[in-house]
Order: sequence, then structure tokens, then C-alpha cells
Amino acid sequence: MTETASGRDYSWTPGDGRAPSSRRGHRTRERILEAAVAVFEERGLVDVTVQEIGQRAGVSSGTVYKYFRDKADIFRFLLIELRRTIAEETTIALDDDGKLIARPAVSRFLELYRDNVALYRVWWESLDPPTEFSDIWVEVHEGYRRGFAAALRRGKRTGVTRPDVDVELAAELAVLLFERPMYSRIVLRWDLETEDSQVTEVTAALLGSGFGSVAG
Amino acid sequence: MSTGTCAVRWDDVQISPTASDAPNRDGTRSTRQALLAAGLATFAQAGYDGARVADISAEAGMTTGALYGHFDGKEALFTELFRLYGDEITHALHDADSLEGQLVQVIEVSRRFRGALRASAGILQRRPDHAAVRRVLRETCAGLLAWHLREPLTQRDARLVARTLIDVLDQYTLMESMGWIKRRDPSDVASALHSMVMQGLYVK
Repeated sequence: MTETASGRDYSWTPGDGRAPSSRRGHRTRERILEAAVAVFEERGLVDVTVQEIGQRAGVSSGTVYKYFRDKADIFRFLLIELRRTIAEETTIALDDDGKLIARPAVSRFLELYRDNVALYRVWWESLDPPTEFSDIWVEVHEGYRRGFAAALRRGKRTGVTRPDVDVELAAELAVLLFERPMYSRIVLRWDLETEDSQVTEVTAALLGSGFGSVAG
Repeated sequence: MSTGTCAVRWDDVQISPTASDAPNRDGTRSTRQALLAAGLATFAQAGYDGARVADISAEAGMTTGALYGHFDGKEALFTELFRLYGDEITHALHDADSLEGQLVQVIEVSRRFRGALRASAGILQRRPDHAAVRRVLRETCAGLLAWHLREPLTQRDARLVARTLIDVLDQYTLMESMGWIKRRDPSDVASALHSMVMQGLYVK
């Protein structure tokens, strides 16, 4: 991660505006992105080279540099897309009472995480030492935290959120449910014997009515 | 099911003491302790890759030669710190008499060992040997938490919830030590998490 860590490069213009002008250029860039995802999934970002990504895509390093400044630039491009997808597709709706409808969002999130395991792998790898990518991580975390807090606060007004819930703290913990447990499960592949459906149920319960009622 | 997932216990993977682990060799146990403390502080400050042997020695006010007299190098020192963390957290979880008490312990011990945890997070993906040790520790901790979850939950769900709680608090203390989230009282965090498990966020 040295390239980005030292540079503190906050530019969010992917590929420096070097968007392909031709259909063939588009295909080449797509091929490079696909190759990068494959390489990232196997080896992360730190140890891979642009040359390796080029080889996997069947193009020269020079061709890769036509579209991307460096390997971090490729990841940046992919991360922007991922971030947009998460924002669009994992919104947690509220029911008529104002309670979070967590189950479908958790289920979709698990799917997205699995589809983008390479990017999550690299994203986690890029958290320390802090880089522009850890800044994005914190930003996304903070966005979700605010969202959860707003939903819980609204629930307090309408009387559905338990009065003793510390809204800010519960919101923080709610976001964390979507971070490390998913990393353990999908990137590190630690809990292969549990089903996604089980994870969805448990996560939704922690974001809903808890487990106390099972015991009565 | 939980059988098989935790076939290896934390105690079984502990690295057996090497010659240089023996206390009081040349009466230098305190030197060793000082080096470990310096390692924790340096890893907390700089992460695994950012911490050089020279930095750790300097933090302890010693020469690199003194460090190499006690540890084969940075990796050996880290391994020892992680082992100490594992010992401390498993004992604390064993001794705590409630789930909420255990959650407080996870935060407090993790805070104390935040250097070891930051270093661990930094090498987790590229060091399968460390990932394996970390995973066994997580299973052992989850097993200890699951004991207090057996009342409301099935064994299968208790194990999963316990792992989730360990993971959440791991991430919490890591983000806290990076200065990314607000630092809070461990008992407040434990109480909020405990109530999410038992009562939930919503009025029934």
C-alpha cells in the first residue's frame, strides 16, 4: 500500500479521466478490471504488480497504464462502483411502525459481499497503515451509523424503540455487525459450516427484538 | 454443529516455552517484560509493518542486541505478545460470571493488548499460520461466551451469536484504537451489546 500511503492521494477521479474512447477500448478496460479482481482475490493488493494484472488480462503493462495510474487506481475505480452498489442495494427499510426491516438487507448484503470478496479482501488489507481507502471505510461506516441512529431515534419518538436504548451506541454496534463478522465469514472463510440464512436470522434478531423472547 | 469446529483448544496451540522464555535467565525477566511492553506500545503506534526492531528496542531504552538476546526477532516477540493476549482473555472470560461481564473483559483486555491486535489485523490475510492461531482463539472465546447464551438460544445459534459478539468487539476496539470511533466506557458498550442480544432494540 506504500504508493497510496505516502502520497495521501485523495483524488477520486478514476483513471485520471482516461476513459476509453472506443468500444474496443472499453472491452480492454473491462478485461483489465476482471483480471485485477481475479488477482486481488488470490493475493490481495500489496504483493501484486501492474505487470501481473496485465499478464492475466493478456495485455502489456503499458496498456494497463493507458487506463489506470497504478494498481491502487484500479482498486479505487472498483471501490467506487462497489460503494455505489452497496448504497443503492442495501438500504434498510422501515416498517409501518418505524422498525428496521433488517432481514432482506442482511441477506442482500451477504450476497454482495460474496460477489465482491476480492474487493473486500483488499479493502480490509488497506485499513492499516491508514490510506485513502481506510478513510472511505470510516466514511461508509459513519454514514451507516448515522442512518441507524436516525431510525432508532425516530423509533423512540413513535414509541417502538426501547426507551433505555442508547441510540448512538446501538447504532455503532449495528454497523459493526456488517463489518468484522462478514469478513471472518467471507474473506477469511472461517465459519463454513453455518448457512447464510442462519447468519441472516441472527443478525436480523440482533437488529430487532433480540433473543430474550425465545426463553420467554 | 459446534462439534468439530473447536476440536483444537487455545491451550493446545500455545507455543511451548523456548530456552529464552525461561524466567530469570541471568536474572533478566524484567528486561524481557520491558521488551514486551515496548513491543505492545510500538505495535499500537505503528502496526506490525511499521514497527522496526530498532523502534521497539529504543522504546524499551535498550539496544537491538538486547532484544535479540530475548527474542529471535520481531515475529517472535509478536507471537509471544499474542500468546499472552490469548492467555489473558481466555482466563478473564472463564472467570467472568455473566455474559455482560465477559463482554466488558473482551473490551478491557483487547484495549490493553491493542498493539498485539493491531499487529494481528495487519498480518491476518498474508500469514495463514497466524490466522489459524487467531481462529482457534476466537473459537475458544466464542465457546466461553456461548456458555452464557445457552439459556435463550439453541446450541447452534449460541455459537454463532458468540462468534458475532467476539467479532464485533474485535472490530470495535480496533477502530477505537485507530481513532476512527468514539472511545466509550467498556461497561456502557457491554451493556448496550448485551441488551441487543437479550432484549433487542425494540419494545415487544
